[in-house]
Amino acid sequence: MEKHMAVCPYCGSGCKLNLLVENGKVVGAEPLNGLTNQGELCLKGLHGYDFINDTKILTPRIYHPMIRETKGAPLKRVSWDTALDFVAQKLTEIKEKYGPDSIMTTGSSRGAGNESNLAMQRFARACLGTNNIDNCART
Amino acid sequence: MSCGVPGMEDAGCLFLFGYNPADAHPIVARRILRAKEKGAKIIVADPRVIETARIADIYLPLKIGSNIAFLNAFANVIVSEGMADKKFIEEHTTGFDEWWETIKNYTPENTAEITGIDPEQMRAAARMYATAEPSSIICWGMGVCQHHQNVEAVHTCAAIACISGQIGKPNSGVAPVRGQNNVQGACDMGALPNYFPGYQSVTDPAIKQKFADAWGVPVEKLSDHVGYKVSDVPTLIEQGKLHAFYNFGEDPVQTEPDAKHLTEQLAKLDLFICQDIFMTQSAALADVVLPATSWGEHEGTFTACDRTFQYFSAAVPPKGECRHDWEIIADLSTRMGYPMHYENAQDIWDTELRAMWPKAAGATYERMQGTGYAQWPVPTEDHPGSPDLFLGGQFSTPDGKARLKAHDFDTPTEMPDDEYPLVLCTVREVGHYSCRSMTGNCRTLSLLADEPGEIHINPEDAAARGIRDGEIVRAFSRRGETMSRACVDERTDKGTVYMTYQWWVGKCNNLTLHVVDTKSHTPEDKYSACQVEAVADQVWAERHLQELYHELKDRLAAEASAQDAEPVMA
Amino acid sequence: MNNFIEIKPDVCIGCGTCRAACSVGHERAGLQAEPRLAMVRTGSLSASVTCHHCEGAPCSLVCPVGAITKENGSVHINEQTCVGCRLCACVCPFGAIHPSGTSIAGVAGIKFDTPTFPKATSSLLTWEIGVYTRAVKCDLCAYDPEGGPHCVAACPTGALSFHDAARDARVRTEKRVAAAEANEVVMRDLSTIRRP
Repeated sequence: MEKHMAVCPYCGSGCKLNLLVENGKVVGAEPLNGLTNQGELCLKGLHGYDFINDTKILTPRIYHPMIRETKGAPLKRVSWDTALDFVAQKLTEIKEKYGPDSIMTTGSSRGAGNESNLAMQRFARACLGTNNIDNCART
Repeated sequence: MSCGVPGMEDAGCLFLFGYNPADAHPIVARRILRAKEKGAKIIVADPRVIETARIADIYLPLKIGSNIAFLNAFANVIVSEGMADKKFIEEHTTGFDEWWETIKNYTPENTAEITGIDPEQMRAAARMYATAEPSSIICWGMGVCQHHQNVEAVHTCAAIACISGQIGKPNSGVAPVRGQNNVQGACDMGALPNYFPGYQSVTDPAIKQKFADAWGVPVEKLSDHVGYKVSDVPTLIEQGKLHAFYNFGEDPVQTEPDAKHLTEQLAKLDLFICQDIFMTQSAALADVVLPATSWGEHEGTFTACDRTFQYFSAAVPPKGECRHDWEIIADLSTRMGYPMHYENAQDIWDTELRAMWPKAAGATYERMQGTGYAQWPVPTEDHPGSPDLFLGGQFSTPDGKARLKAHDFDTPTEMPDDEYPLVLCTVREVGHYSCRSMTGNCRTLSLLADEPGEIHINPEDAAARGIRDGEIVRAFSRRGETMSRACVDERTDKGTVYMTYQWWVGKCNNLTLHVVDTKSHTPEDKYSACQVEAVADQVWAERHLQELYHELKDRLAAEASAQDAEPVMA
Repeated sequence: MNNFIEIKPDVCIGCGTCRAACSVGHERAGLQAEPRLAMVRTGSLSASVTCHHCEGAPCSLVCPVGAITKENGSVHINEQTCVGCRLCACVCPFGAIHPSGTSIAGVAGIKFDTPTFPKATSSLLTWEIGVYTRAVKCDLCAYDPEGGPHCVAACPTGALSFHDAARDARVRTEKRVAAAEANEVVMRDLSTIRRP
């Protein structure tokens, strides 16, 4: 069994834990002696790992890019190239037509991590030219 | 937080105001128990008898929506009973006289009707807080922030800490304990409309120049004004100001107020992008769905509520075609004519944060390995990090002094009336997280708590409506309705009902009012007028909810099933 | 002598981590996933209530099929032998036994549960189509003598402890010493004679 160090993604306490991995699947979690948690975890830290394995209990994981070619059309799976070119073209059109402030972006105050927030705010500011970036800190 | 979570144990007094640690942060609740064992005094002010209220030395069951009246009177006692720290006020604050002009009008006696608090109890609590040795900490949560006088309440909490001299020393001050795991981090990283990373103002020309240089863009290309806030998205769409919304790692249809209105507005967008790990209710409405790697599949750092940066590793490889969030963003940017390239997460951390924000310069990936961490400010690699802020009364204002601000009390926006006589207050579920897409897919957590969730109601309010414990009830407001399971609960204050915002079928945000305050634009989620009624046919109700739940799951699975087909050319 | 889980209501924060540990442990052992601890909240206390493994366990006396036995100071229900008559749950003085069954949802074309009783009805009176119920209660994690009881280890605030013979002897000795010392305070004059 492999052990991979992680920080619990379920509240601001910042509890350290090991994810236990067997045959490429996360099969458990055990507390580590982190700064705040000192070897303890609550129920979310101990039992909040199996969503990674796509249990489909509530809703499925998404594995492939999908787009609606026109408003209201069904989602269709496309390649990454197609999806990102589609977004790039649409965002460029909207930016030209309505200005950069007509586009809103978000960071994520959840499992994505700090680095992706850094990338997103740079994208909003340097690429789109707007400060329209925010996160769900109010929830 | 001006102190660290571990340091909470060593304070002499913890004053919990609108903060329920047992449900929001069980591991912080454990620290509060430890503080109590070590002799700390505990004061709890909350409309509900929360878990911590049971061990409190003084429990103040204030009426919901009376925060500012309460805090003003509390502050008044500290000054009028001679407990103010005159030296600290003189040396480390400005604006006391003007502040007192407002505060002097609020006493425990003349606010008792508004707050519902026995004046002697309030006085005893203020004495306990102001005179505690070696320090006191005011802790708050969404019970402060999701009221319409939220910024006002934060000002007043901070002023109370300052005038009592209960800030500026170890294990003291103010502790807004952040709810979601990386709210502190997203804000630290500049996912805010007014700040670059590290709270550096987007309107400061020198700062703008610094970022323009680092990013290799002409400074004119960077916007010269503050951007929009995400809580205003539906209003902005309605006003025709927003045409595209790139939503990343959030499920606003579940977590934002007035879900029906939000859903209607999202449909009007020219382009709605959701970058997520699950087919959430929001992703199901999107024009573009971009699959990202989940926690466990990528590495990175989070910032805990007490400013502690911690590294987390990837446990398993990405599934399907999932890519790291930052890879998707950089690729898209490059396609739009602004090339962004990073080697890995550490590359982003080093170039975009440590190089750009002096207070984080010492937070290397190396020191965060294992159970290592770095608590900002951490300016150099050999700096130990800073559990406590404002030591010696040095604040982050230009003159280093705290500004005292006072505000008059105002009633909540939507007061109960004959038609909607109850107040709905939304709260957190201990065994589920945020929109529940993650924990709702965890076997044990979903077995312990599942739809439709619960609505907590006082026994008298329940009896008046013929509602028995465990029954399905109907709850409705001016915005919409939902069904939930009644938990007849003597810890719940009369006149208020509590629902957790994790449930998709028993969705409280069908009912919530979407009104935001003028400064932080935070929705007033703690106060919406509503009504609750019994449902006569309980067997029908149980079956109906099962059907709704499965319809919802089937709909989301059907949306996601498009990914099972081979890709098509657009 | 009986072993049981001791509860400290002042330390309990009602988080339910004990219930999660209980559920996972039993499910992995092929038993019902239903948590054996019930979270009780009143105006003034929170506690996870579970079986006390009574010396004169009434549940074992009323069981018509001998499914409830006492082994090594604790009371066990054999979920395979149990016929689901619910007599034991009726006589339990702690409300620590309740019926549990495996839903047939997801099997044989049945997509989801079709409740035939309101959930507000006592679980002793309800039945669901196709669900065979049996009595479940705390077994002190007898399926895992090394790792159990799992609830005790999982509790993040130390509100639960395992009360067994060794612990009982230790605690009783401590209490008696404390009592002796308390008496000493009453007769302070005498104790100062003895002490240098």
